[in-house]
Amino acid sequence: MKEILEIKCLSRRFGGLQAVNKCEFSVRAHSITGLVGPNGAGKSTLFNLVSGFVRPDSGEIRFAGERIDTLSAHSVARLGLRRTFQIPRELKQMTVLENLLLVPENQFGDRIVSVLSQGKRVREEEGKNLQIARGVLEMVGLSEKATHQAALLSGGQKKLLELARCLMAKPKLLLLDEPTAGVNPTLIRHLMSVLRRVNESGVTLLIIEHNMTVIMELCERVIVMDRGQVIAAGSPSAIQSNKQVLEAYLGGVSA
Amino acid sequence: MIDYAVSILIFACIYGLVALGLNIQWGLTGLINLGQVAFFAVGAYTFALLSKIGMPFPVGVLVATLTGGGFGAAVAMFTPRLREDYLAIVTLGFSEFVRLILLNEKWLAGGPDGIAGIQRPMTIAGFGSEVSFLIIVVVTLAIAFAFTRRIEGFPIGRTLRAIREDETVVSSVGKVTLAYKTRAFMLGAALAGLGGAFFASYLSYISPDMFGPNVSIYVLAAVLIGRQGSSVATLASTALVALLLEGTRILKDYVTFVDGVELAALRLMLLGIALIAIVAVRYGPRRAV
Amino acid sequence: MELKIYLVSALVSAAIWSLPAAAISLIYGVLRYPNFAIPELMTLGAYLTLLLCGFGVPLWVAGIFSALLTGLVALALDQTVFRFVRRAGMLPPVLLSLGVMLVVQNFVRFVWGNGNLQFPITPMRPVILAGFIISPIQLIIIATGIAILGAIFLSLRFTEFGRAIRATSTNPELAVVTGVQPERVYAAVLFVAGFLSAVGGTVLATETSLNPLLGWRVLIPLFAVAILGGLGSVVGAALAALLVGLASEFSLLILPSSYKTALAFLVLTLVLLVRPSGLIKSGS
Repeated sequence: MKEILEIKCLSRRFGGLQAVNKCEFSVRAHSITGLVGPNGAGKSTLFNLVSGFVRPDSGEIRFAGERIDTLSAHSVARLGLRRTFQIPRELKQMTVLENLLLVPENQFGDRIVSVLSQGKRVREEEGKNLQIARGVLEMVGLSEKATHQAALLSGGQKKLLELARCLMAKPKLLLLDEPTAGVNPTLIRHLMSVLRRVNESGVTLLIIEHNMTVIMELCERVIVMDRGQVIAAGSPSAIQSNKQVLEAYLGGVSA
Repeated sequence: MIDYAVSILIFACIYGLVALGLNIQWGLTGLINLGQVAFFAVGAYTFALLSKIGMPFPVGVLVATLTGGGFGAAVAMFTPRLREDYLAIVTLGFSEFVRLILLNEKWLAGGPDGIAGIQRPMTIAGFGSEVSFLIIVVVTLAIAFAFTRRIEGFPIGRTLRAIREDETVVSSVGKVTLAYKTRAFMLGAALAGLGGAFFASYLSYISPDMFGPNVSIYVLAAVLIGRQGSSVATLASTALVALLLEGTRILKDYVTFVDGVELAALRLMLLGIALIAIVAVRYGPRRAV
Repeated sequence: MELKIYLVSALVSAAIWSLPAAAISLIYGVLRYPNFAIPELMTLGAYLTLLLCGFGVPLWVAGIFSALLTGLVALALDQTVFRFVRRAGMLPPVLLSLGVMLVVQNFVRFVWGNGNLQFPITPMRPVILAGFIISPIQLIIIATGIAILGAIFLSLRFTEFGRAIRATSTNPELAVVTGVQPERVYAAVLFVAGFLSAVGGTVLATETSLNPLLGWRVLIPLFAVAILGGLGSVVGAALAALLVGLASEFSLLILPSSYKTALAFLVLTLVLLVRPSGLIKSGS
């Protein structure tokens, strides 16, 4: 088994708060890995560190063997490491399709010179990207909403849109920040099957999740964080009976 | 009367160029710029200086546009991470900074006396000087308009709109937002520079006091009425503002109880009140966000 | 000898700038927007002082009344115009302040014309104080600046209302919970800001002369001072005024005098690039 993400001795402080403290773990390629822990354990900060939105104070992050802890967010994304946000950040004033068409890299039409061209190349490119976008929407089940304004989607559909936006780029590793939070049970079922299919297509998933059913059913490995550190890692069933983990949850505020 | 109408139209077209520029920066990309007059002034002075050394009209216009764009890129690159409020302060400050340089550097810009004898383009056969100028500026505006319309409709316009909505998302999908913001600011400044070249050419005399904050406010008002983003609406509202403000110049001949300074002051007060009214209507409680 | 002259001018500039800069700072701290109309309130205040002087009132009395009047004008503008965009974010009040700037500046131009005017004061012989040559007017300006800033500082620190203003500045939500009425705080801040600006305008006009661009010309130094002082802090504004004052006076050693303002712009940009929170961190 190859490790796609390796985190070594990673730390980050915010003022008086040690949000992430000498955190160490790794994620196997092609796996679905869960990241759990009580609120304030540092999970979201960890995502921000890995995706390049926040710089670590110390430590190492390796993605597919390469150091990425000094890269900026857009460079990390370009390497094939994409993320969703805990609170969906859909581009409200754009349609669902436009949200996706934003993604493809190195679009000719995304350069000023294209405006001076005849436009044939841009049209061809857009046609191609439109096809990819429709395929992605089909996969996550948002096809019917393609031309709707993103602002009009339901909470769960916004989560799907975030996922779709990541999938547009054919990522290697996907960080999902609470994909089922605020989503109704029927849609959760649907979302889980989508995630499984995404994983089968070769994408590694690292998921922050509070819904234990989702974790149990989806993940082959679970990492538990508390106060910025990894306190346990293992199979979901092993984690469930781990004493330290129970203490962390009972000691903290229940999620 | 016809002369007045032609003159109002010419001013409207010139301000239309500047407003289209601001619309790319602010309307499309969400970068506030309270000092658009700085790039307008840079364009005007560049054109005037080139005209003095005998450069032909098209060369002057082209170089003025590029210089305006260059200054825009420089400002954008120096202020990449600035929050909206700081960007507001810096752009307004920059415009005054530019005016001070023009006022003080006599060797370069003639100081308070400005530059006179700036060339007009050749007259088109069969038309008078004023009307041929109008034709040339209308054609230029049409080209600039087509250009900005294309930007809006092309993938690059989509990326700029996405930056306006949520810059974090755009970097999370792997795009270098700073590069896009710099380009948008540069394009907007270039259009202001282009407008400045025509301004200098039309008046054939420029001085630093023409480049006060009212020009910036003029185009801010226009872009605001146009609801930020659409160049069609921006042009329509520029025409409206121009009609209101340049139109009142005509009053000079009919209103005798106020002198020139008083009338100018009244017109600028009107502009201020217009801006206040537009903001109140646009952001006031009835349109609660 | 020359250095001492620069030092005096720097002190005078600092005393003048710190008042309207404190006004900008206060408004920014509580209402969170840069108010570009403050320099024009200076102009208005100076002209109102001139108007009152015309009735034979001594300059200092006229100055106080004009400051009170300008405070009321600022308050009225806030209640009639700015109040409608309270919850609309930062940009609307900024644009409104630009509109107000244009209206006030041209109102002054309309009423008093473009020319340079002077207060009816007789020039006085400079005195020598501890080796510094200083005119009595300069002395009064420095004393006024220190007295007013001191009063503002003390009332912010030790009065109930000052506490309310500081609380609103640091944490508006919490302030409301503890019983502060935000609209009252806004009203008070705007009145004080108008007052400070007018005093600043009057003393600036005493040092120089009155014209419609009186305030506009110091826009950049004022914002440089307010930002350097950490937007929201009165003490910060005073210290920053001193720093910018010194920098621009001593720049005269190497730069022509017309570049004093341009230098302030460079200071402003530099501060924003290097340390956007200003030299002194504000409450938040």
